[in-house]
Amino acid sequence: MLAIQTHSLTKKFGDTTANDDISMHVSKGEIYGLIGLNGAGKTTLIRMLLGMIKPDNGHIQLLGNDLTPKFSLWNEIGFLVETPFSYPNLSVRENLDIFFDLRKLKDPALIDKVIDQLKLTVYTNKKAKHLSLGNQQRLGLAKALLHQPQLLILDEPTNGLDPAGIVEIRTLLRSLTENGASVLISSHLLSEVAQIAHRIGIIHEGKLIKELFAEELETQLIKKVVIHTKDNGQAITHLKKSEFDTQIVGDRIYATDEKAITSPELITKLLSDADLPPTEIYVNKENLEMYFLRIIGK
Amino acid sequence: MLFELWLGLKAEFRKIKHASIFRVTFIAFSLAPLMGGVFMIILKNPDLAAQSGALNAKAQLMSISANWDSFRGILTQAMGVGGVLIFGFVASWIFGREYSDGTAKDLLALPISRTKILNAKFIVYTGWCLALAISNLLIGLLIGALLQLPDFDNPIFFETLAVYAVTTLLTILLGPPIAFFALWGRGYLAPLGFVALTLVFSQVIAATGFGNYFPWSIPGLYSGAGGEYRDLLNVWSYFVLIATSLAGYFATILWWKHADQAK
Repeated sequence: MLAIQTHSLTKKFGDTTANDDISMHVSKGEIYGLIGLNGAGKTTLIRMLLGMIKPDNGHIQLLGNDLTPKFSLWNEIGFLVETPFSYPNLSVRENLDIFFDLRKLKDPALIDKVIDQLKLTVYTNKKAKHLSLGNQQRLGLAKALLHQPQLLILDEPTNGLDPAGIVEIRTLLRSLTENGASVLISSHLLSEVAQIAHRIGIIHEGKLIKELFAEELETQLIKKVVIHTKDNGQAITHLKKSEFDTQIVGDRIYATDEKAITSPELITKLLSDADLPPTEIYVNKENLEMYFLRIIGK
Repeated sequence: MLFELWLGLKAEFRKIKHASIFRVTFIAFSLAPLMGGVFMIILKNPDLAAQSGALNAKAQLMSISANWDSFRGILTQAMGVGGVLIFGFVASWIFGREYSDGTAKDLLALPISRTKILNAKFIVYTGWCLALAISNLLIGLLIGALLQLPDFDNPIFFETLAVYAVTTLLTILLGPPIAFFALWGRGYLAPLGFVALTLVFSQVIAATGFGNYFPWSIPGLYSGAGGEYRDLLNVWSYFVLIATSLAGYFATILWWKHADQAK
C-alpha cells in the first residue's frame, strides 16, 4: 500500500499555476524529500494533500483511501505546514492538550512521551510565545507526532533548528520510518533533504521536473579536473593530443572525461614532461545546490 | 457526535482560559452599568446635576429619572447598542484569532469534523455573550442597590428584565455574520471593520425610520434606545434578523468546509 499517491494534480490561483499535473507517490516506510525554490508549489501540494486546498484537477489517495470530504484517517496523519504557530498564551503542555482532545486520544502518557521525544521537558509549562524559534518548531513537530501517525507530512521541518536539532530530527524521522511510518518532507535545500530522504522529487514552477533515489544523486553530479598552468594555450594542446576532453573557461582548463577525473596525476605528469607543470590542479565535484540550480535551469 | 462537540468545547475553553481579552470584554462592558450609575447619582443630587452640565443635559434628553426603571432602561439600551460592538468583538476574536495567530491550519485535518469545531466556537461565543449580559445585570443590580434607587417593587421590573433578556438574545444572533467575515477575511480586521460599519449603518438607517428591517438596528430598537421607533418592529423584523443570523451561520460553515485554506 502506498502512503501517498497523487494523480495529475493541478491547482491554479487566478493566472498562476501553483501545481501542474503532479503525479507522485510515497511508499510505506519511505522518506520522500520534496525540494523546490520558495514559491515552487511545495506548500500548495502539501495543503492539497491535507485537504486544505482543493485541486482543480486530479485526485489524491492517502494510505490507500481517496481524499474526499469523507476521509476518516486523519489520526493516521501528522502534519506541519509552513511556520508552526501555536496558541501563544498557552504553555507547551496546554497546546498539546488541545490536540490531544481534538484527536480524541485516550492515553495522556502520549503527551509526556512526545514532550520527551522532542526534548521539550524543561519548557513544558512555558508559554508558547516565550519559546525560541527552534523550540516553537519542536512544539509544531510535537503536535504532528503526538498521535503516533503512520504518515507524516512535514513542510520545512528543520526551519529554525540549530545543527544539533537538525541532526536530532533527522534521527527521529529515520527511526520512525524504520518502524513503518512514511514521511513526506519538503525543503528548499537539496543538501538538507539529501541527507535524510530515500527518494527526492524536484518541483519547479509547479511541475515535478525530476524524481530520483538519493543514491543516484552522486552519479548525477558533474565532476571535472580544474587546471592552471603558466601557458594554458600550450597546455590544452598537449592535453587534447593525449585525448583528454578539455576546454578553457576563464583562466582555467577544465578536463571533464572519466580518465581525467579518475587519474588526475596523469595530467600532472603529462604537463610536467612538457615543461608546463600545473600551478594548480584539483578535482571539482558539483555540490548539491549547484546540481539543483542546474536541474531547474537557473 | 455530542462527545466530539464536547471535545471541541474543551479545546475552546482551554484557548480562552488564559486570554486577557476575556477579562477585557467584561471590564469594557461593565462601563455601561457604571455610567448608568453615574447618571443616577447626578439625577439624585440636584446640586451635582447643576455642576454636571453635559451629563445632566444628556440625562434630561433621555427623559430618565433616578429610579430602578430608568436604570434598567439604560442597561437594556446599552445592551442593544453597545452589545452589538462588544459581542461583535467577541465573535471577531473567537473566529478571527485562529488566522491571526496562524493556528487555523492546524484545525483543518483532524478526526473531528470542521463543522463541529465551528459549532464549538459558536457555543463558546453564545456562552461568553450570555456571561457578559448576566455580569452587567448583576453589576447593575449591585449599583442600583448601593444607590438605594426607589421603586424596586415596581411591577415593570420583570417586564424590563424580559426586555433585557430578549435584547441580549437578539444581539447574540448578530454574531454568525461576523464569524463569516472573520473566516473570509482570515483575521480580525475584516470582522471588526464589518462591526464598525454595521454600527454606523444601524444608527443612520434607524434614524431614517427603516431600522426595523435592518438587522443591526433591531436589538437597539427593541431595547427602547430608538424611542417610539420600537413600535415599528413587527414579525418581519425578527424574521430578517433570524434569517441574517442563519445565513451567517451557514455561510461560515460552508466557507470553512469548502473554501481553499491557503493561510
